[in-house]
Amino acid sequence: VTYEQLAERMSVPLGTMKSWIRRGLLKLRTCLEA
Amino acid sequence: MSDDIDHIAPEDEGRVLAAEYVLGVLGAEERRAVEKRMAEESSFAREVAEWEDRLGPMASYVTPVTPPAQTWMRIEASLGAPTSTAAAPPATVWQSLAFWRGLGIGSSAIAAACVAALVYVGMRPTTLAPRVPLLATLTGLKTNQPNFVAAISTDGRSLTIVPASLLTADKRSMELWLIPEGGKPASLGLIAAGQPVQLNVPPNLLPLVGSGATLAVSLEPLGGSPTGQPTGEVIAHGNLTRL
Repeated sequence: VTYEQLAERMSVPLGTMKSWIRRGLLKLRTCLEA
Repeated sequence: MSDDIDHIAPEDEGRVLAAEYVLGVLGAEERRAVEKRMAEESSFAREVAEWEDRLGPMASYVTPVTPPAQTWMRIEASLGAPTSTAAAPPATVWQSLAFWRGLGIGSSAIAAACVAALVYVGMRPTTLAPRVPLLATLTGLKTNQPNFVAAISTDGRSLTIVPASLLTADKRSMELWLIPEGGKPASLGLIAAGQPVQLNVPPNLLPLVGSGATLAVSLEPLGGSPTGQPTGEVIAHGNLTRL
């Protein structure tokens, strides 16, 4: 599932979807590294 | 905040991209770019591998979904392949669970076989392992000088004997004998005084060719010993030894 498809499904702008996921990934990385 | 990309610190850019790649949210173009960067940048490739470790286990919680029938036709169409006439996606071997399971079991079996082969190779008696040629220097009984050098091929099937110096001007035939430890002489054939000769070891003598056996040269009537055993004077002999 690409960002485009996710944004469409959640009815949010593409940029918003990207930043949600990117921030989530970075948080996940911090959590798993600690 | 239409686009929060700017909020990502530069050092996080590669990390996020690697995660996006592993997560599978990128488009085809971006995926290709990532794969190119993985090949060029080892630290980036490492980052991707780390994300695969982090996100991989989550995949096991996902319930597999069978794609709708037209998906396969769309893939075929995008590949420019002739569309399948069957409405249902052809159950190719790649889609078969049994195939992948079989492949897994097969691979394990091959791995086990490799280990077994390694162990077997490691345990084989060392007498078989290095096939070094057998050599003999035949010393003249009267002269006490080396008069022939004989070498047996690594497969034990042929013998080359080279005269090192002229031992005798005797016109009789010279016959080469193989004498196993504690055994009777067996003829290997006639040899020449002035030139190297290659002889084939008779198959029945193959097991007798080894370290400890003796080679001897005797003078025989023209054409060789009539009895199958040396009849004339032994003029040279020497032991076979491994190099």
